[in-house]
Amino acid sequence: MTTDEQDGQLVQGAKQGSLDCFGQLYHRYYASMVALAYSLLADRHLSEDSAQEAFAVACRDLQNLRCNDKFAGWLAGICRNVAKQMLRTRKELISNDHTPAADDKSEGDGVSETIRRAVWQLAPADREVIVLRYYNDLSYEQIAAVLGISELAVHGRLVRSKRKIEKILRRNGLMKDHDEKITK
Amino acid sequence: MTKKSQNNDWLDEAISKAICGQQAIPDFEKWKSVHPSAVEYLRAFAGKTKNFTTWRMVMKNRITKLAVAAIILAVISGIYHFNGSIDGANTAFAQVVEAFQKMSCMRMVGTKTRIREKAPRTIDSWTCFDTKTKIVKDMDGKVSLWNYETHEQFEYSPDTGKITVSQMPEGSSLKRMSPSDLVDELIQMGKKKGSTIERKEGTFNGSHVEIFDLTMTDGQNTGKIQLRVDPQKNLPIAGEWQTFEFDVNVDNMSVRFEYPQNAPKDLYDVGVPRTAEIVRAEQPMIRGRLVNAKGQPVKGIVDFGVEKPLATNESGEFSFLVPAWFNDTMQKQIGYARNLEKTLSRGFLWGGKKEQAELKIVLEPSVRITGRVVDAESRGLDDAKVELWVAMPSGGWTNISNNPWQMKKEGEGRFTFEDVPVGLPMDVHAEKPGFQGRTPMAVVAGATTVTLKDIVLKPLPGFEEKTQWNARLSGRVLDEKGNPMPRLEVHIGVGTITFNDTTNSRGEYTLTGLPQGKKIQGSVYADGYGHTMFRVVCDTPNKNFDIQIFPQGYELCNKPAPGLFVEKWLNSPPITLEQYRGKVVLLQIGVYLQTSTQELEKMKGLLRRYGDKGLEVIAVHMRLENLDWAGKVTEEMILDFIKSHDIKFPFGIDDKSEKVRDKVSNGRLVGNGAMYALYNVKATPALYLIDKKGIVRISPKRDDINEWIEKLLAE
Repeated sequence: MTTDEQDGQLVQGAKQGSLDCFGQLYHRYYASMVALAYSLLADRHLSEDSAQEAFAVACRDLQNLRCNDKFAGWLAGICRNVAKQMLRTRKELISNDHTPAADDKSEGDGVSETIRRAVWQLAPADREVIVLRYYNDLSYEQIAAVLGISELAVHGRLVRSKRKIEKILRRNGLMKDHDEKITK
Repeated sequence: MTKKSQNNDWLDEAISKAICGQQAIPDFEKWKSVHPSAVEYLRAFAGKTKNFTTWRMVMKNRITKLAVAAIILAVISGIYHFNGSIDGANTAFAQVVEAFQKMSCMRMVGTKTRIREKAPRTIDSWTCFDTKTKIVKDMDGKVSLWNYETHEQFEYSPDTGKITVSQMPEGSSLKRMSPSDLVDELIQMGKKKGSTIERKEGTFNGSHVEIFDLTMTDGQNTGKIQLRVDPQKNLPIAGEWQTFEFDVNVDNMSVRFEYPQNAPKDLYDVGVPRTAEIVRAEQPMIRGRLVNAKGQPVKGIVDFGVEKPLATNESGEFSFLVPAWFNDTMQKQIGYARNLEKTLSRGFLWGGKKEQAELKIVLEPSVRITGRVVDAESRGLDDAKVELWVAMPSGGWTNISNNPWQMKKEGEGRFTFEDVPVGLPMDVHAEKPGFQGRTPMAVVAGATTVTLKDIVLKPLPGFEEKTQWNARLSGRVLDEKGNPMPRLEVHIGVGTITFNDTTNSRGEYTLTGLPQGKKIQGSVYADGYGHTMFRVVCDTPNKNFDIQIFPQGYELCNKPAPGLFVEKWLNSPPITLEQYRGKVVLLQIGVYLQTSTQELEKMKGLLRRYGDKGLEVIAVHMRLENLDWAGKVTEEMILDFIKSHDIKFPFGIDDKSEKVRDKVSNGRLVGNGAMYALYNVKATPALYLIDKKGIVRISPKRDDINEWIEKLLAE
């Protein structure tokens, strides 16, 4: 039985009012949703809030989900919207720059800071896959479910995104540095 | 290339370092408390949708197995049987049947309590009518799935951690594919047994239900069934089944029924870990074809004596997948083939090897065997039992199951066997109480009619012509505390004649037709008690004889273990029990490779489960020289087995029993070995648990072994 089919059953249960089923879905996708929101918000606390809010919205709209097997992708859509909503609010409140303010990782060295900037320069879809992969160490299977694409496609997207990061790093002279280190 | 991958590794690490977040830990409880309205929203849908997944109900009573369907249908059959006798019940039941037939899957959860079993057994099974699968979860963690459409069987065992896939025999089907099949079956049953039915109203878990009470009895055994039906959904929600022998309640079963909308599709859906390795059971395939003496193909039937006979195709070809349960390390088996008209046939040997086999079976005209059974004065005897026996390659004799021949008796002791297959060594046995006779063995072939010499019945060795075979032996079988033991088979064998009876709920047995004034030997077998032999002389026509049996290892219990007597350790340096002080030792004595492979697997499982908690397993094989009752075993075979099955625990071969002559009474010395005698093995292989202080504590039974191991480990 595939993850999708399992989801389908859990969704069916939840649709019929089973809080247990919904709880299982919550456990299954909470980390993914936090990562997804983080790719937009770059703030851990806000991301967690977004993820939780996304589940609340999902709860309310669950009866509208036609294809039970596509729960993860559907939930991801909700989560993106919630996160964007938060981002808008935050932008209005604070600043226009949504590059991560190195929130709780301020001890990061120069390299990390550059990479973070590089990641946030990527297109949203590329950034999503990178953050999903590295923020909470999700598996290809989990990422595939959330993005609604195949694991192979996840791999492809990851490789492409990493190449783009590489390019950015090279432009910033970082890769060269590193190349030299290796060739020494 | 290397550089690139190194780059990637570096990049991976760097990205990970740069954006790795704290692990997001889902806290659903907290979420629920923060989002009460969302929870409310979700809950509002409970029960509103038309197809509610499952009804779950908690039943406090003790529950048991016996197919839900059986209960339901027993009740239904009761109604059919008493057609019109109960007002309203018929209509009510028709509705139940209708509702029930719409269900695609039925789950049965419950318990079964038997009078002799300490703990109730749990029942958990799914029958999916639309996918034609059945899943059964056993108490010991075994899960089996039978797919009747693909004819595949999946078996997960927690002992081995593996899922074994095997092919089910062709043509096997889920007997009760729908409740209506069961109705038919049970109508027949109901007709045989007098039954009454009563319809009542009542409550179940606080809600209103209809209760159908069915009683069936045949005088000695009474079955009482109570079925609770939800009046709204018209579906049975719980059932209870009680069996009485006389007035003693021997079996109790109680189940509740669920009708899950999403039926489990595979073993994983019912909790088997996805990490379980999937292995194919070794199932050799035997192919072959039937031809006549001219080499032309013949359409017919092949019977391997293990499953139902197979039909060949038009060109006489057949293939037979040896069932996984069939232990193919055993000796050769006897099979036979014949054409559809039964005019041509042949018996053949098969098996004994694991590789595939190719059989070309040449059919010849079937044989007719005639003969006469007479007494010492050549008078024909009509009251003798006459049977055609086939010599087994291992030296024994067997009756072929579903044998192809017919026997006719023609008076004055004359008999005829028709349609006997050629090619098998056969023998005609005749017997009547106290007497027996047989023809010398011969391979039947080359003639269409064989006329045998008269078979003279002679008194059994040790008995005379005048011995009276009319004694009645009765009594009780009692356990060590003097409590009666029901459902045990009491067996007495005199020559080739056997006498059997099963004890009733009061532990009573009765055997009739025994010889008077002669010493006869019998045995009783019980799980955990092994075989108990007894000798008795029926000195009166009505002999009363109680048999007390003691659990295996009873006399050893709570005494220091008598030590290890092993001729050769096969996979370890010599060991002593002393070096295992502080550990719990499970000693397995009387292992016989041909019959104990499953038991050895079980030991592996137990060791895997409890090994790191302080359990040690030691296995001791019986002495090899006297073993041939199920096939020879050599040291190489055991070594092979140890290697191929990755057995890590010490495995030895029992020492000569003379070594312990001074430790056991001579009467118990056996050729099976010193430990076999010393530990008084009564059923093989025997298990003994030795505690951390080196004291023998118990010979555990199958159903309480885990419990005992855990108890001793905790000491």
